[in-house]
Amino acid sequence: MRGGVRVLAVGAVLLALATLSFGLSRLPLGAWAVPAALGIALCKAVLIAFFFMHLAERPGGPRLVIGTAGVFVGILVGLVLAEAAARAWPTLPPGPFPVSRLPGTERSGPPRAAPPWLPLP
Amino acid sequence: MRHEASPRPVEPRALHFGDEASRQDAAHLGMWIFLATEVLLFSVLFTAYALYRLTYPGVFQQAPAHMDVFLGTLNTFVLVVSSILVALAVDAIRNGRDFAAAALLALSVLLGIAFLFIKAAEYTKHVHDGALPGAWYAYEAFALPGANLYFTLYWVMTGVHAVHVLVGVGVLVTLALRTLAGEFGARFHTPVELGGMYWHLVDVVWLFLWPLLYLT
Repeated sequence: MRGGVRVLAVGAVLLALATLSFGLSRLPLGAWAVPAALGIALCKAVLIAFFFMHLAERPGGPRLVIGTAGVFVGILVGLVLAEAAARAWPTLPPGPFPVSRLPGTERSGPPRAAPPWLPLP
Repeated sequence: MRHEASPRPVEPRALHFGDEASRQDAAHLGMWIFLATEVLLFSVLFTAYALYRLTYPGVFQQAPAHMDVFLGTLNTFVLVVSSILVALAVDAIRNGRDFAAAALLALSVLLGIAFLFIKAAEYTKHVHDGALPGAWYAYEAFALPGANLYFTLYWVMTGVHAVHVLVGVGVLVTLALRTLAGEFGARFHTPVELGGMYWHLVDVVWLFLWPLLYLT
């Protein structure tokens, strides 16, 4: 039954962290809101991986596999954001052309329909 | 913690799969490799979110005001509780309480179905608002450049996640039925552990979707 008690303890921490995440979202954290929310989510993910997904019992291969996946995610998100942050503003979507066809801004009438699908020549 | 070798009906075909512990090691490693590919699938969606959030920071910050934060948060607690129940089910089956394990799995199935119903209620509201993905976006109350990108990402990310919840519910139903049929017990329960890991991964993905789409 010791395992069951541990599951319940980890579960209580998970529910507390979710409540904390919701509570923090009601506070004016400004630029820290996203890092704080993602940090709490990461804590929850590590707890679930180690105690619910049995990583605590399985050193070696499984930890290497999921750790490598985590590093790859970091490389993907990090390099994409680094490149996008270094772009000049006019090259970012929607680009140098004026924003057009947004609902409620320059037209009235029924909601805009999707453009007809055309097969490629 | 290794589990004792079991006389379950598996003929060892090679020396390195000779005992149950080696088979469990191989099964868990294989499951983690599969879960790593799932992580990479979702990380592409999170990367797209990060790129467009960087491009339209103000719009993405305003977007939660147009979401049903109560239902999103309720779904978080539903999934976390279902994860706890699955972990308790694995603990029960390890201790030979197979009926308790099946009951706990059945309860998590109910919570998974509840998650899908709550998600469907949210989707209905978005469809009613006209907050549809891509070129179908027609939500007058949130008509800013980038708002349609937020909702496109919302539909794709939560949609792909909902498909995973649906698959996970199917996995848990199968496991509950097989547990009731007496296929798993204290000595052999690897499929329950692996199916549970899939369900926990679905939970972990939602734990990242929830703050990004509903809270910040």
